[in-house]
Amino acid sequence: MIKGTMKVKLTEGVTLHIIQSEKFKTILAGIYFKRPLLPVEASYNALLSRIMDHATKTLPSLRAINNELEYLYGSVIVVDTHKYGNNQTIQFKMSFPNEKYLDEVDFYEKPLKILTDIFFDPLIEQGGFKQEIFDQAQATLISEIEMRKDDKMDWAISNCLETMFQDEPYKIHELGTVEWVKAITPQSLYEHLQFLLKEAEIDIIINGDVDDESIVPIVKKWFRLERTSYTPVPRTSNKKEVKAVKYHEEKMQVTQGRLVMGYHYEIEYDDPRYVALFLASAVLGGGGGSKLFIRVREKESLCYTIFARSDKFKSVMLIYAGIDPDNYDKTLALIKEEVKLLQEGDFTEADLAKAKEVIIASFLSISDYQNSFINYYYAQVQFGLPMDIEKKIESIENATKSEVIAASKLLQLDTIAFVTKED
Amino acid sequence: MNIQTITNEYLNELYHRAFLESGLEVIIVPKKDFVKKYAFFAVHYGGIHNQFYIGDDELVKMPAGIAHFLEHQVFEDADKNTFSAFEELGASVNAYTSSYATVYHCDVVKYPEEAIKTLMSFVQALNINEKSVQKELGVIEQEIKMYEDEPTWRLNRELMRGLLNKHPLRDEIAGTVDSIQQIDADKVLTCYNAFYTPANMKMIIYGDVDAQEMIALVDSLQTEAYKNRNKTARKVEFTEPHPIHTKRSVIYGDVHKNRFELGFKHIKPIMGNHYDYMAAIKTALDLVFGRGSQLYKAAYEQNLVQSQFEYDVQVEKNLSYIVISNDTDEIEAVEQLIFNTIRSFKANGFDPNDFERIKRKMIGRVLSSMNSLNTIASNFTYQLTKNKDFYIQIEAYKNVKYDYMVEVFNYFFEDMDNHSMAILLKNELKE
Repeated sequence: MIKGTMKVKLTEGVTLHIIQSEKFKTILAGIYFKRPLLPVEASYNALLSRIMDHATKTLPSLRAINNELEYLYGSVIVVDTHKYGNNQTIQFKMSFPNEKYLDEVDFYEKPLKILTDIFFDPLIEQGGFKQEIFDQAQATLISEIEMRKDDKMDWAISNCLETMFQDEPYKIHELGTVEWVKAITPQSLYEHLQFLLKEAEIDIIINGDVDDESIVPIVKKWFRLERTSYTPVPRTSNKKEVKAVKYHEEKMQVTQGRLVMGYHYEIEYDDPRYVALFLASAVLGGGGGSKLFIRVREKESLCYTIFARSDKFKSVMLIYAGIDPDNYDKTLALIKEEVKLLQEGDFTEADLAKAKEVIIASFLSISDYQNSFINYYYAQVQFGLPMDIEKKIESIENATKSEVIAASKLLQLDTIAFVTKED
Repeated sequence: MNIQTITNEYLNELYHRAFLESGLEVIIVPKKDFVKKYAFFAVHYGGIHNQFYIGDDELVKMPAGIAHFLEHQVFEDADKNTFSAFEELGASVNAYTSSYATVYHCDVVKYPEEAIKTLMSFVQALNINEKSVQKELGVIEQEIKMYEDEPTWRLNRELMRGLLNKHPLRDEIAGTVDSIQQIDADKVLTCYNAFYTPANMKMIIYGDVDAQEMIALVDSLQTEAYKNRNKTARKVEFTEPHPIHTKRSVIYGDVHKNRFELGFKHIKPIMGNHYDYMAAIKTALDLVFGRGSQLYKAAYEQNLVQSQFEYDVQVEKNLSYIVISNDTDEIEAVEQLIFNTIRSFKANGFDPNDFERIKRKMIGRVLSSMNSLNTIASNFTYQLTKNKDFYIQIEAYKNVKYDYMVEVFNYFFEDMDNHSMAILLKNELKE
């Protein structure tokens, strides 16, 4: 399904990747700016992601941009910020139709011009973003940060991660804080954009049924940046000392309690043992056939939602369960017991085979989804790894039960967070 | 066996349809380029079908939430955990209960035949006893409480109760913690036998498969007991009166911004055919409320709203309604803006250039909707549960005519006063 990939260096710290796949009727272009996750800067990056698709010099209002996108056959631009381990990215993504299906020549010029204009040629007045546009974006971001509390599952997970990494930059949320956002001015934000264009590590990934000869010159023409140096983002270690288990509780107006348990493990994604660790978390809480689901939901009827998942960027596994607050002790004891049983090897070859089949199927189908496809590719780029789905599948197939047991013994409970009802 | 092939020239797509002897309808949507295959086993029985006639027109009334409860019970298998059976194939399985249907679906990469076999095997039999009912009550209670902790979900429920007088769409699909206590094994079994009949179900398969082989496979996988289940209960049909139930209602929740849902009800018959009508309304709504609309621009620039308006339209036989919602602390101002905007479009019509722009957008959206087989499968199945053809619906968007759209818009909003407003306020505003 993938015809080929190619890589071109555009200037210092800017790499263009073309991934050809024939089956999609649209082109997806993603531009990723990478920075270390830092206090205060996190909110600058977040606010940029909320303002940049709202006006350019030639399309000076949100409506002007939206109308132009509609005119370009409903093209879509999404700008957002994400945390990848100890780093933060701003991602500009644009989806537009393949010109094969349109009666137009040189169509790609138009969407790529808008996508690049939003950071090379934004609407600037008096050395900063236009005041009204800035005010709206700032207000939007502040309410977004305030509304984070409304999603109780996400909030409980954030509580867990913030407690777990209380002395590390990782505790910073990718949107930052209301105080940080309030301190930004239209001028300081524009200066930050100039700083990013000078210093950020930038990857451009294009996926669709395109050939390099036609698309590369157009990207080169519109991605008009020349630089002689930049600030590479160095890889940082996930090493962490786990001492006594920390506990965080928050009382909120809820009827259901949200329990989150954060485990740390001392290996990283490119360690050969990571595959076994990933399988261990799948056996434990990957889906409806997993240990936790069968025991806590099916046998004990304690919850509707329960899962375990691993974050490869931060060497963390989280277990989540939505339970009646009165069943806290019982659920916690059951989950701990299931983790212990896993570490003692109390699961069958069939349990493992099942977890493998599910994970292999998900790797095989990555290429069915354009967005997950480029995101997976970008993640591989982060670790300096190639697009190696077949190899990955082979390593999953070859993982043994004793490797999975050994990997599961790396799991150390670090933090328990509980969102519960008010007294 | 007679296999029909239905082609859509505009989309360059086709699908196959066969009716098995048992009455089960099988639909195959071949899609060569995709790795995953999807199978959807759908029952025309959902959250609103709590009253029906069985036998000699005996009226049966069931507690709210029973179709959803039954969906959970169907997953109970005497021999082994249903989820595990699929995971062994690298497949995943899930189900949902909507107002109109219960749908069991799986996706699979490597072993489609085995996955379809497993899917059909567990849906065709029901293992139920008082113990399994008791056990599932605990799980479903947590599911209901999860929804109840979502203020936006409660707001939507509030709107539906304000908009409707007696239509069962007023009830929660999953029921309430109280209503599900009245469910027992006998009642669940009655519903199962009444609706899980071949003639009341559809099997739809998507992906790189051979149509004839798949149809033969589905045919061979039907159990005798299933094929013999040939009496489908008759659902009670509801008509909804014109006036709304409650003009305005307020609830409170743990939120950081107030929110509203505004609903317009219309019970008159649709104008023209369903597909054209639906396409015309959606195009008009896009022009009035969409990303590129004057309304959104004005509301955003006056700092009344921060995100786009959400809007949706449902068109049923005797009932259509439009719901518009957004987060805002300036509910009255936004409400006034919306009403002024609708009035102005009714009086002045639409700008033909805007209309052309939206049509170009639709062409692009059609292309991108064909990118994901997952999306195609979900939408195609959803339309089939309403006995509609997804491809015809897509094509209708391309063919919307300006005059017709204007006419449909004016028709739908002829009685603008017949609306209901549900409001969610922050807890601290409670007096």
